[in-house]
Amino acid sequence: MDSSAEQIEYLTFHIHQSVYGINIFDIQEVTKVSDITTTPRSPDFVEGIINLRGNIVTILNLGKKLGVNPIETQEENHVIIITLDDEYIGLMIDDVDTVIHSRAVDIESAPANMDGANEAFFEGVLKTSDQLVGILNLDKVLAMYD
Amino acid sequence: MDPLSSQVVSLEGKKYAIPQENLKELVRIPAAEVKNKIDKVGAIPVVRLRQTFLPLLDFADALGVQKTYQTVTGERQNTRRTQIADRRSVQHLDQGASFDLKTEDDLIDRQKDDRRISASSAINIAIVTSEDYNYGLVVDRFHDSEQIEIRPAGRYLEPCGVYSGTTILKNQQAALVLDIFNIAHKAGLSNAAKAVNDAVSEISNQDPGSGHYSLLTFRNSDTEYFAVDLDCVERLERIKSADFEKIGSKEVVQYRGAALVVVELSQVLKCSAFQDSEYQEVIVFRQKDTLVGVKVFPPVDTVECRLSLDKSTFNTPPILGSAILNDNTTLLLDVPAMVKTIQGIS
Repeated sequence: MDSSAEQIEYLTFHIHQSVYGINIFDIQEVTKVSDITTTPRSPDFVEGIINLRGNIVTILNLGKKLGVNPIETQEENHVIIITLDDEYIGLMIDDVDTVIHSRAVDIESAPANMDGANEAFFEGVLKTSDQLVGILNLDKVLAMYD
Repeated sequence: MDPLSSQVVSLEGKKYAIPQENLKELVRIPAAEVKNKIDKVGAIPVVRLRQTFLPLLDFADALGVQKTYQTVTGERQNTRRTQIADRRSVQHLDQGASFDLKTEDDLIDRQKDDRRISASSAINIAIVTSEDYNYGLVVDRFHDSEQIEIRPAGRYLEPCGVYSGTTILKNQQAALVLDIFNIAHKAGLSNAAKAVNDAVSEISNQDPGSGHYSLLTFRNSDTEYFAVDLDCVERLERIKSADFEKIGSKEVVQYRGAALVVVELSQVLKCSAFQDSEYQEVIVFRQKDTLVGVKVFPPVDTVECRLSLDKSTFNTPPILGSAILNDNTTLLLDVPAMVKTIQGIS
């Protein structure tokens, strides 16, 4: 079977006005967090750590990591939880949008400038009826150094 | 993973855990004592701990955290950058100065230009061990120790070089575990520790067996003079003889809600029997959680001095040695050993 025809589900979410998507397969859960313990001397994009049902999750400000406007930390923030090599990482976003279905072939190459974010962070873009969704390359996004 | 014992400290309201194996002791220096206990070796702030000096590291500096304080109106303000050892501290060690203290009135200066609430000007120091040397980490507050499970710091926190891991505290809050060795390493403390050590050795080399002492002196009788390290003294009390109760071979007195064992010096070393009178001066000693009382004969004085301790003439425990103070041969007592002996009597 031609894998490029397989349907992939993406969770779409906002960082300010821009819409991004992450493969649902990579997502552990989506939750709201509060009481983030700050971590002095850590990279700028690290907001801190939290206790999620007995697990430590490192919270990254996805706005900062992508190099666009930082997410504003409030009493509660939306976070997409990912696991990477036995580590829990939380990507802080503005809010969650919806789940969209798409086939790999529908992903087009990303323009060089994705609202300020480096195209290297993206697998490409998906055009829906009303949005342009930047599909994130998680490995690149989570890398320590750009 | 087995839980480890840790000491929890806080900085600017945030808690951090220090693995118990890195912790030597906790020291609190009241505001009025700062000028006696905090000094400098060149540019390195140090704390005087019993007979030695340890380099100090401000935890806020190590983490790059802005310090704040609470004004009398209750708001939090950023602290101006001040040094731990302020101008009013004793002269610098490396100038070979003697330790005669200035008798300035610290309190008046503070009220004039410092809006801080005075209780919070006490300095809390966690004395920690980093492989070859000890140093003092200046924190805001001490909290209860906790049994913690240390988790990996993770890919984003590991490179910081200050955390050896993460954990979840009893209050369910995520917290950071401090890497005591790397924190010191990043701050260049091993050079500081060496400099402090060199300065201290130089001074004691000038007169081997000499050191700087903060002592409490007292008598057992007209002619028997004794001295103890002031750090071990909890209080001096005046107790009515009638209030002593004899229980077996011990004498106890009700002291702040608990029974305090009180002895006379002849029960722990060779000296004259104590002459009781209607009112007794009792020195209350503290060793960790234990309090004991010793009946003494006035006058009781505090003395700050440098002296050469003669360890050969009188040295049977709990006597550390002897020295001439104010023309009297005075025996310096080893309080921890003495407290142990007193506990043995009961």
